[in-house]
Amino acid sequence: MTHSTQGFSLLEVNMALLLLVMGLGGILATYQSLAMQVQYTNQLQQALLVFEQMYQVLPLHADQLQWLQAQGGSSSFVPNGHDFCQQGGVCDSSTMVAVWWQHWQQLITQQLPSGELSFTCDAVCKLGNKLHIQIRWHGPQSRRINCDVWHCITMEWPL
Amino acid sequence: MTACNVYKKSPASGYSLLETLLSLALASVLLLVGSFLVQAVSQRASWWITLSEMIMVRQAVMESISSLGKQVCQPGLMLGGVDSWRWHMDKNGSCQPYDIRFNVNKMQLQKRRAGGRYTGFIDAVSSPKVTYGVAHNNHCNPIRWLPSVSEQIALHVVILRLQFAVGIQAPSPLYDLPSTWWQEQQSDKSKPSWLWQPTEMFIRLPCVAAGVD
Repeated sequence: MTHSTQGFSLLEVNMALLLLVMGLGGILATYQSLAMQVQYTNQLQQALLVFEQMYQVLPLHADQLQWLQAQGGSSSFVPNGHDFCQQGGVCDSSTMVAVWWQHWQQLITQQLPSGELSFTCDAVCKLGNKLHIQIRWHGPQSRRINCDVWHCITMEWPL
Repeated sequence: MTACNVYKKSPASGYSLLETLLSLALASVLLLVGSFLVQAVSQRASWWITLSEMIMVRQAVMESISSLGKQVCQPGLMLGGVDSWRWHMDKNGSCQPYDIRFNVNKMQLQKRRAGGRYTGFIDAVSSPKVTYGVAHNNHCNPIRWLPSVSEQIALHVVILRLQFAVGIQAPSPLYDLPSTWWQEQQSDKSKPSWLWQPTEMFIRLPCVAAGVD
């Protein structure tokens, strides 16, 4: 009667290690995916909240949107009246809409990585025409990217 | 070769002491790494739950306020203070005055029909600030924002700006809070602290002049 050699073969050890690595990899992948999901949901909510504000405010300044579009989305056109217009001062409608636009741009810059805000109108920005507003930002790459290399949401509505 | 010779040449069975000790050490290291991993994942998961809860609570609060705003009817606002206001709301087909206020102590948004008692309808809100967008006569675009309005000016208010914080109770986070959030420790240390996230929203009031309502 002969005794076989005790212990595991190299193949068995390698397979066990492989299983261990796969298990750990699975945990890390789930972890990563959940982190991305929560981060993305948070970012999306921030963007939607800004949209919600715009949806309430911009129609009140519909006549000034053509003027706002002509400024090309630059914040440099906003006069030094940001606080003045928001703290009781009387401002004309163009200044008011410019101040709001700057306010939303700041919100997006603060809360969304590389966040940007833009809008265009069909033909002219008058009552009845379609307005396109887009917020885009850099977010988790594992999520579906819908605007080239950006995440974005677009709102279109007739004022 | 005899059977006896074969038995003598076979290697010794079992592990040596060194092998056993090395295996135990390796197993300990693996267990240690595994337990750190589980701990880190569980802490992170708890933080995600907090974040998700905040997202849902904020959504719910804003939808409730928004649905309240949709019930406002002509002539809209009657009076506006720093953290309370009176406006007309549709109640079973008739337009009736309602008072709305932030109750800071109870962290609630409350409402009452004129003459009635306040009841809370939204919880977990704090740091309220209301601003009123006032338009020119017969216009619907606000030209100034005031922190409070008299009965006369209230007639020209076309939009309300509500700034407040939405809160949830959560254990002290082990991670950096998002830049605008803050934490409020309860006096009783055994209770979970409050996490607050500032937010703002607008309520557009009925305005006939430019056909916006």
